[in-house]
Amino acid sequence: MSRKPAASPTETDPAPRRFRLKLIGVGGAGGNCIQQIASAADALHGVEWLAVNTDLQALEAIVGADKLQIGATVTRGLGAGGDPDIGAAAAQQDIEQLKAAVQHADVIFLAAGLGGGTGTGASPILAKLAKEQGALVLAFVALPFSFEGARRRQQAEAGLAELRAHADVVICIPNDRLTRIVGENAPVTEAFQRGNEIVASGVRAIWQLLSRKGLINLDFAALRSTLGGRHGEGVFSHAEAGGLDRLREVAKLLMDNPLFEGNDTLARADGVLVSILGGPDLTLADVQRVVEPVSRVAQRAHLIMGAAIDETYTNRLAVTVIAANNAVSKRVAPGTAIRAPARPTPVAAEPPPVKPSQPQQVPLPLEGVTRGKFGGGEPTIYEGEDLDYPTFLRRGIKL
Amino acid sequence: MTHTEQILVGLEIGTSKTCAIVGEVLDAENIQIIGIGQTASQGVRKGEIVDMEAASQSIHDAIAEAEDSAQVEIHNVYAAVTGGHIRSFNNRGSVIIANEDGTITEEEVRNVLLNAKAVNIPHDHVIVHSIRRHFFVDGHDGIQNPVGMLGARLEADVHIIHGVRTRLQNTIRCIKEVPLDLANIAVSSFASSLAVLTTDDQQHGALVLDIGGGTTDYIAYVNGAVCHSGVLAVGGDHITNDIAVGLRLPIPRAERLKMEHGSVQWPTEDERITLKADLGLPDREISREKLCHIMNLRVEEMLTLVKKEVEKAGVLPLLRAGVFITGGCARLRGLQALAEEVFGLPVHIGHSQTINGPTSAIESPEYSTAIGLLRFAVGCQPDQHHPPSWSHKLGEAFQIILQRARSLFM
Repeated sequence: MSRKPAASPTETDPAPRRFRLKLIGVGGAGGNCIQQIASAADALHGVEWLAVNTDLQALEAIVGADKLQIGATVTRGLGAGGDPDIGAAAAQQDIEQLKAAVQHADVIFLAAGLGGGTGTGASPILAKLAKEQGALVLAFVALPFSFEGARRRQQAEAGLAELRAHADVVICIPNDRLTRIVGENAPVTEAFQRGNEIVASGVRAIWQLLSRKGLINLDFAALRSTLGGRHGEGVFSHAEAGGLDRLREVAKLLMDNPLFEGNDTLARADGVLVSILGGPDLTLADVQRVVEPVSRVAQRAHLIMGAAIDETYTNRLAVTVIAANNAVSKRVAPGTAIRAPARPTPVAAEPPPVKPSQPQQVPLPLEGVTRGKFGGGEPTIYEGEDLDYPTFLRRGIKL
Repeated sequence: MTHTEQILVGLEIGTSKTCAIVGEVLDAENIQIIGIGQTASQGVRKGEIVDMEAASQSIHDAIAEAEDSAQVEIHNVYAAVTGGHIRSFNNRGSVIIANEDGTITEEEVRNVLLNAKAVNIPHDHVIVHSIRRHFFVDGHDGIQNPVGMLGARLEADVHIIHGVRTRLQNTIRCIKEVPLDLANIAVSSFASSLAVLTTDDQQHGALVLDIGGGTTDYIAYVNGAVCHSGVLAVGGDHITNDIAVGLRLPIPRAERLKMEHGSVQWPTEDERITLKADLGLPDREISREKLCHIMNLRVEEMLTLVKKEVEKAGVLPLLRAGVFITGGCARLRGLQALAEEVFGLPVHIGHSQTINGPTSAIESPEYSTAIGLLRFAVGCQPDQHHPPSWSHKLGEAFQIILQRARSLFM
């Protein structure tokens, strides 16, 4: 799949204030992801790369990124062996180094594969550290294939719950869905490549929003208020198209993304970010036509958008949508205890006390189960929302 | 006039129950309920038939029971239809008065109504109702009966309700399979409103919300005329399903829990509900707060969606008589208060006010559709039933309802 170079940074647009974006790949899958993105021709200007792993051998294979080995004495450089506890212990051992790694960054992207040892165990700790340093933390995690068995799935779910408690937004990329994107018979490497590309386009979208000047500028505060402190599940869609019909094509590609599971997740979103990249011929009407279908579906959401211009994108259009849910609804029963949503605090302030203890049980995107007795029939769709699903699940309200 | 002409039967094939109400027409004003038959529905989902044979059996049982209780034989019924496919809109038709002296006659009225009915609907749809609202003579509005007036141009506003032909035919075929003759069909929301609203309520502006097992049907009246209606395919079954998912209970048990302990308001203090063990299953304790939370979220969402639709049509500020809630879910505890909170209007739990009969039937919100069908049926009766000389004596208010009801046809 050929990918248009996104943004070869030109000398002429220096960002007035340099935002520090850092992509950290944790574990084997995270390392691969970094490796691919960092070595790609369109390496994002000004983004820092770091690979964190327990496995020295895997770490050594990575080029083009900073590396950090953790838990040298716990694992003797041999990896966590699929045990999240070992991964967590390794991270605890080198906690000072990790803390230094996440310092002074404005946005931290975490990329990890859940279900194994290092990624599952260490990434929640890293997310917590980053959050304490005041960064906006977005995690992209791959969930194991269903054929990998129940144990890995349980480990992944536990890790996911913990990660959600710390990171602002967690975007899940179930490996099972990758097969739906690339097709059943695609080689494994291609499937993983596509997964990595998803992460890359997410990083690029945020990077674009913050560092390019455009039709509609977005600031960091807007980004933070949209995605910060959600602690819920996120969805992500990226589409590019060229030619005369690019508007319609992009809109269709965006909505047809298998990661979107129909349109339902978007409709339930609380915060939505739309990033548009086009050539100098991009008009406000184009922007409106791209954003409108998204905002129509995501009615309840706080939507922010940015539109940037890049000469190489003349006659082309790239759109990225990131949507995030609140894990805990703001509306709660009078008298019930609320778990206060951790407010993002300025860098200088004391870090918010995020309790790592109880892993949050948030509804996982269950398919088919919750429609219960309406299973076979025609769904009741109201403005993109499937009303047959229980309301409390759609709103992500914890009972 | 034969005996059967004075006996009318309203049949509602609901998602959770099928009921037949037998009414005797005493005179045009008074209808007396003389029999009720009811049975649990089979093969109906979200207000639509999905299993013809099972639904036919339900109808058969309900009719048999109604025959028993009314001591009559039933051949002919009026039936209610609903479903998520039903749509509505308002339309205006106009004709030029070609008479020499410019007098508007019955024929012009007929023509203008036909003209208003000539609308573009999807090719697979069919018009169920074309309810007349107002006439305009030379642009003057608010005219109820233009016959005999002078004018150059006559216009009519109608509210058109249409649905997918094949899905409506399922109901019709099912009734014919029983076998029964079908006199006419009416949309559930319209039938319910005829039972629940008095003419005064219609004049003042009212919203009727019929929350049944599978659908929520709503209809709004402003200035005595229908101005908005719709169907939201969400109902009591959805509440039950939410409870079943949220508390991990089988559906029948969730249903029982909803009826026995459920409320759409927050309980003042958290109680534990102990589920009775049957078949040796262990007792389980359930938090009532959780139960009510699930129900509150769902019902509030349903009401909000209806409010949004009514708001979109621009009629919300005109509903001075308030909101009338009927259908089985009107029995939900705390619904009145929640609906008042959502709509910001007075909310009444609807009783059938326009018909005589045993209190048990009239006070039951779940019967209002079938009862309303009797009112609808009276309107469909041929004219000789009410000789003109006689109907002139009636109050103006009643004439309006009579006219409106008469204007209903397929």
